[in-house]
Amino acid sequence: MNIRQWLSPKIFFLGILIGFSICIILGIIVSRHDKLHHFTRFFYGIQPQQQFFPTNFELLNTALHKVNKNKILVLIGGSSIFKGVGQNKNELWSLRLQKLLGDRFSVLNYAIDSATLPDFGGVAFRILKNHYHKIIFVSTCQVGGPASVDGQPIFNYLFWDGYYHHLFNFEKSEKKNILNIRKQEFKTAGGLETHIASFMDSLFFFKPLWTWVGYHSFFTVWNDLSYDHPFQARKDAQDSIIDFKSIQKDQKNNPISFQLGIDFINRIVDGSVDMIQYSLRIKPGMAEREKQTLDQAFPRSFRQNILCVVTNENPDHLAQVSAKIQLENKYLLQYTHKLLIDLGYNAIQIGDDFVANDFLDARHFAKSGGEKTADAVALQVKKIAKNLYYL
Amino acid sequence: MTSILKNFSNLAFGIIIGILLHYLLYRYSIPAKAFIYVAF
Repeated sequence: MNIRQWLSPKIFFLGILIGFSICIILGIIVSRHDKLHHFTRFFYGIQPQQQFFPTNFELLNTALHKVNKNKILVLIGGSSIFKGVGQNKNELWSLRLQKLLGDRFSVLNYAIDSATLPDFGGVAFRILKNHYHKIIFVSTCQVGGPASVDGQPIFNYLFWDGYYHHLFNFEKSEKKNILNIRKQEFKTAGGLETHIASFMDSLFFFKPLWTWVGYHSFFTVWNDLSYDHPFQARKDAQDSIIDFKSIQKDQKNNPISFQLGIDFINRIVDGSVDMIQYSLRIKPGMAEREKQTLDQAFPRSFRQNILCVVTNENPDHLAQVSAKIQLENKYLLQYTHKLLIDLGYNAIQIGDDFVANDFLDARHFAKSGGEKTADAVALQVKKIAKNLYYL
Repeated sequence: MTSILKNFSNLAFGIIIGILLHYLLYRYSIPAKAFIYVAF
């Protein structure tokens, strides 16, 4: 029998249309319900490092599932410092924060490795602000942080997905800037790819559907850093219990790890501060860039709901850098703190009174450091809640 | 009978390709290389 007799193009293309449409419908359904189960924080198996790119819908639905709308939502964003690298999930600083704040508050930790103020947790804040009328966003904040309002390239998919899905609204003041960034990103191959993918997703809902499949059934994308096995459903990935005490010891005793921490401090401080005739100043181009990026991260009306936390480094590491770098580091932290206050954010500086044992390495907090962080943040969150008439 | 089988197989094949196309949109929307986080 001739194979051509078996081909029926019209029905074949009808089949394509049906298959594609079924997927869109499933994507829309999934986007309404998909959430991260037993969520405490992000960890390796459910982060972009392992090719798992959480969607805006997952962040939204997880929050809606976990946090009652009558409560004051305390959303944690920022980097691995607030994610709790150095603390196991049962000793996480955000759990202590919840305990200190009490039942009227509900703490949700959306901090993730490497994220800056507007990245990831910042996008979730924009979205959740439309759903919770009582919300406070707490994030780490460092100089040299965000590149622009949509965050770093690894996380900016989340911002643009939210933008094209109309999950958050913009203030008039930031619209011009966002449209300008979009225009600039169209000019680069990577940027154009992100925008096309996010725009098409707003029409076809492929990210919600296939992320849901990867989370619940089997993971379809593998890489050489894959989790336990390449197809493992990511809901089965574990936030492993780690012996941080021995890592802490290793960080102290291993000259390579220790030096890496020192190099990090030197690099950040050296790249940011100038000392001219014993007077300190932020490098000229950098001061303007920092002011601009922090000013563009969130509109003014959002800032009274945001607490930026500027964290200091491990005193053991600081003791090993030159006196000049120590001075410059202190100046840099104070400068960042003041800049945030001047721009209308709530801000605190922590870590000055921390001892070496409060740190896992140069910057991340161990359990005791996490507890001190929770104590300091809880005080500020209560103050902000009072100022906003939430209490 | 043959006609039903023919239409059914064409439709089924089309549906599979439709699903695959939808998946490919997802697959090509995420970076090909893993993002490696370096602590320092």
